[in-house]
Amino acid sequence: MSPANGQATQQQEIRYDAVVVGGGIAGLQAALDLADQDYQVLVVEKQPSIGGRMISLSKVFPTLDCASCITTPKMSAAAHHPNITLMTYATVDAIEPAGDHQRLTLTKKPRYVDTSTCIGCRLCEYECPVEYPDPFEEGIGAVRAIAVPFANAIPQYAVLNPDYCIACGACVRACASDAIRLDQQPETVTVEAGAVVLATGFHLNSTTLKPQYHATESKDIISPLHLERLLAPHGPYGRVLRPSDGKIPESVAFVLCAGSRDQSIGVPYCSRVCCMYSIKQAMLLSGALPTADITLYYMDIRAFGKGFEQFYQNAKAMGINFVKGKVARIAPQSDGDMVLRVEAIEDGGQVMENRHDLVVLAQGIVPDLVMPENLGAARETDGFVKRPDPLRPAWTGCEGIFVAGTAAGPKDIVDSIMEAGSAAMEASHYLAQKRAAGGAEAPALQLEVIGASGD
Amino acid sequence: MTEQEQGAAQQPESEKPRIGVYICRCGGNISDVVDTEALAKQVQSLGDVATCKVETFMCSDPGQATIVEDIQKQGLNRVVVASCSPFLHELTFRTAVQRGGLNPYLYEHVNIREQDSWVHKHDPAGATAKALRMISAAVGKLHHVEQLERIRLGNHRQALVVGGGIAGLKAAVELAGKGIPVILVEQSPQLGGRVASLARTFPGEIEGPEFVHKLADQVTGHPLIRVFRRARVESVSGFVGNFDVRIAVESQPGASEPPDGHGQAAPAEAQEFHASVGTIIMATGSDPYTPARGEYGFAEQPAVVTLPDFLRQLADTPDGEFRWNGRPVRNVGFLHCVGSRQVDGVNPPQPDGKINDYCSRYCCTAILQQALTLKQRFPAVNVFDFYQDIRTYGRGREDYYTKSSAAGVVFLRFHGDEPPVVEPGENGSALKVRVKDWLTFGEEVEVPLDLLVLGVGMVPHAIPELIDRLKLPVGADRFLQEVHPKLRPVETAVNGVLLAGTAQAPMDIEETFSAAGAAAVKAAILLSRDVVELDPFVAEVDAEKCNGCERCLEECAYTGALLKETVEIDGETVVKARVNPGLCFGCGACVAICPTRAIDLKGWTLDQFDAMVDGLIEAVPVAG
Amino acid sequence: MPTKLTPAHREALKRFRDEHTDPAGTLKTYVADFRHERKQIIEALRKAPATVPELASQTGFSAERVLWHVTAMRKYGAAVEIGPDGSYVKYAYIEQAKKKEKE
Repeated sequence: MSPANGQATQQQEIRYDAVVVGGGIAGLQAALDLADQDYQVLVVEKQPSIGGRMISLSKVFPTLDCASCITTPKMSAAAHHPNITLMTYATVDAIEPAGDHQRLTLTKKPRYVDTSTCIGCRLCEYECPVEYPDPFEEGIGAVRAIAVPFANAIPQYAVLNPDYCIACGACVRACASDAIRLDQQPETVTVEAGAVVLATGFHLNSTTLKPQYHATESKDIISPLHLERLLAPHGPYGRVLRPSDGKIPESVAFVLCAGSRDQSIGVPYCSRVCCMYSIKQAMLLSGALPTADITLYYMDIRAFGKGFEQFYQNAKAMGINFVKGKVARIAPQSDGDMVLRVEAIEDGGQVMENRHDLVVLAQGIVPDLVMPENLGAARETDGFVKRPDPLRPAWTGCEGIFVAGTAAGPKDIVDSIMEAGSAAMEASHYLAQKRAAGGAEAPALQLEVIGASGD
Repeated sequence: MTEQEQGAAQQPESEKPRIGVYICRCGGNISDVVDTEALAKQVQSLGDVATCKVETFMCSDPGQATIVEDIQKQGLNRVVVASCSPFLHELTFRTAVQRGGLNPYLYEHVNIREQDSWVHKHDPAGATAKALRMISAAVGKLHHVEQLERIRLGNHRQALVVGGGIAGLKAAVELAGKGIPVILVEQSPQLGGRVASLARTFPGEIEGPEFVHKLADQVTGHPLIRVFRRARVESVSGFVGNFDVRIAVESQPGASEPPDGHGQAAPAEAQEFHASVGTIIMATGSDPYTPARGEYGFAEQPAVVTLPDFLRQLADTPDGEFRWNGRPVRNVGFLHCVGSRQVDGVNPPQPDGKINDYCSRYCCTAILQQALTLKQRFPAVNVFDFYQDIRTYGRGREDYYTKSSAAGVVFLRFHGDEPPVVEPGENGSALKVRVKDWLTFGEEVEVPLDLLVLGVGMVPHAIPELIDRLKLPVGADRFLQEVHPKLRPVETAVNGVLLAGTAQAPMDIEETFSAAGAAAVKAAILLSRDVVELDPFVAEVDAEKCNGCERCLEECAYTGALLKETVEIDGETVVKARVNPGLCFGCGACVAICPTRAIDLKGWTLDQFDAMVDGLIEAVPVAG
Repeated sequence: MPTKLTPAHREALKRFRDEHTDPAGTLKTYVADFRHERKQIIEALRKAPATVPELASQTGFSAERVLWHVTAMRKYGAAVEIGPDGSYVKYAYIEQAKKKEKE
């Protein structure tokens, strides 16, 4: 096949019972719960792999299951489901009502790889001469300009980043199946859906929001997602090192509420998960760095879910240091350490200055979807998707459009999974109602009266 | 392998085993300890192993594709994957084997992570040797493998919802909306459960009765939902797709119309109903924790009340001066974590000897909602809040905290191992609370109060008979236990029985709705087909060998799983055992007791166990 | 079996270059720096295994940048960790150029 007649721009129109926007854990669960009821589902994911935030985590609280070990089965189940179609590396540009269904306009970004012939062998990646900071590794590791995004990515296709490609042709020559398509163009696709589930997820707000924390001045003031990668068993360093110079940390600080519960940075709400992931990370760190001092600076420990309080008490028993106090200032020092200025509320209210060589800022959860209006939904003042009916909490208020997971507010994995199930239920309820209106008959209740009982 | 073993093996087809063994590095989880490459070399020399490969993530798509490709290109007819716990990936690889064109049960899963690399971190050589023996056992077992088919049973495509609180109502509305008939059983005369008696929800600030009415209207008006109030599940038996349920409805004294306008007209006389349902949703809810007599002055001091009692009375109190039991009230205290976050040796144990060490999740916000309401309606009242951590998590909830602080609520922070002490008051106040306040550096403070509100936690509503009949797993916290607290929060170990709402764990209204919707979708999935499919690992009786001694029947722990059958053989009436595959859990107790080896477990036969033991012993790990 | 470049491939390469011009030279500078740094680090490691600060002082690059390179080299099989050295970790270079030719 010649590359010139690869994938040209073309118009397609396909109809699905449901389209799920976002292939993270909420989206995948919603898709599986719909597909298992025999609905035809399309999952649209903007990244080259499904799996969302969860696939990049180290372990999860409070079970300490390895995250990739429990995410890959969901990813794989969705990928192999006969009723699920995956469309990765694609964005949803618009959702508009069209008759009794929704019309979605999607853009498939060019991978520069023909997915019908790529076998994920990574020969192109091995030959590519350019490396850049790996977004999957939060920038700390490296990835080549053409690469399979990460080891357990689904689907396993290479993707080329044109920002770092020098068009040397090494990948084209290396490919055993002639799958590289450097002339690939963005492709617009229109699909129709009976119902839509928005599961567009979250990102963390910036470590630099609070100037008094001076995160721009030190590479060792890091984000919690960054630490997740350091703690992952197949993480970039293969161990925990501080990013500025590769030192094995001796004293690690966790600063809670660093991006939440603060009107001044536009996040008045509590992000729900930071206490627990910080405790989990502290526990994992104490395993990875047995001699390191680990301190959590907190306002309130919000260990509210099932098994969470017990998890917190275990962490205290392990010797992790919990200090109630708001960190007022972080001052990077010339030797690479950071001095944290804290009012220790429970220690006579004195102002402490504590030295640490790695600082993790528990940032706040903010919605990834900036303009829900384009996708047919409305948003609350804090930016999350609006849900006007308390009796149908997964419904966006717009005909046929539902929301699940962190698109509707910060929440942990189990709450995202529950909400995804609930959104799938409300969507299938909606689809069934439409079918019933079309004349489908409902079964009758089978019940037998046995008669008056003993008394 | 000896000739004898070869003869005994039941080959799926009379073909020679060609076994593929795949070893997973698990991204280092395994290969950091087990020398996977050396292991692969040794595995290659085991009997009938045609290929042995090592992959970084066997569960990834390329890992699975390798299996499929090798089955097709190398003619493998049995597969072993040595990786993590079968709980995580056995199904993944069975499916891959099936995609390759083989019967999915021609597969063995070896757990060299949880059972090997993770527990032998400091002995890599020993861990590698152990992995070889484990794989050798699996290879041995596969020499006696049979092709199995999943058990297919009929499915009664309707659901039973136990509990008419908001979780049960929401689950019923959704299922009926999907076209699935629902029987809803509520023990009390009214629908709506705890929420019906709430003043207002948070953070939506909707009146509890209004919230419930809207929901209950959808249920009672639905042609596919039959509601039984003042009713209980009298008995339940069976298995997924085929639960037999008897519902006993109490007599309704003089009432032919439901008092609240919800629910079908109850019969004047007690009645009993029978139904067959495919799934059961447990929405049995929770109760407020009842403090022991004297716990923080409860039931001894009249000025100590629980939060649910307080909010009802506050809602009924007219504006003006705040009075309680006729007495004017100046100082009100709210105490968090009553019956929650208890500490061993500090809080007295519950009747079952355990403490409630869990957080009840809703109480912080509920308390602050009331504290704020009180302060807004009666600004002259001083409000004191005794807490450990303020857990107003999520959106809309933190507002109650910030607004309470702004409204002048005084916060005092205690530590769980030094809870506040409630004593009779002095100088005209009803009570005084002594507390070491960690917001003022651990100073011991005495707060005089006219009223103390106990922020009581949630305890699961007691349903011992249902737990016993359905053999439902219960956690250390007495709540019903899910399969996996992270990934499968609404399913139970009993296939077909689902959890909705606070029967599983403390939750607020919004979370309860999510849980109910999630339980409903699992029910809808189970009820979407005419048949249910079950794993084939059940006991099977060889009628020729069975001598009718009935010892297996005595041994069987699962009611109805083993049956006694009278059959005519050569004109003689004899007794034989028979297995009901829907109820058999495949525990193997009957296999062990049978004196004539007439019972075997499919997928786990005695011959297979013998071969596994041989495999464990025969594999001789090579040092180095 | 590698792919032999056909005129169609060359046409596609040309089109890619035309569509992704680098007027400010950003990519060009990045790649030049990347290659220069990598070369220096490899040369330093060829002499003897070293820690990140040691490599930084030998090459003059920032420790952060050196760590990034060593991490990348580990990922793609060009470096290996040989154990802790005080508060840091020592890395060694893996010669690998010949390996490819054999296949």
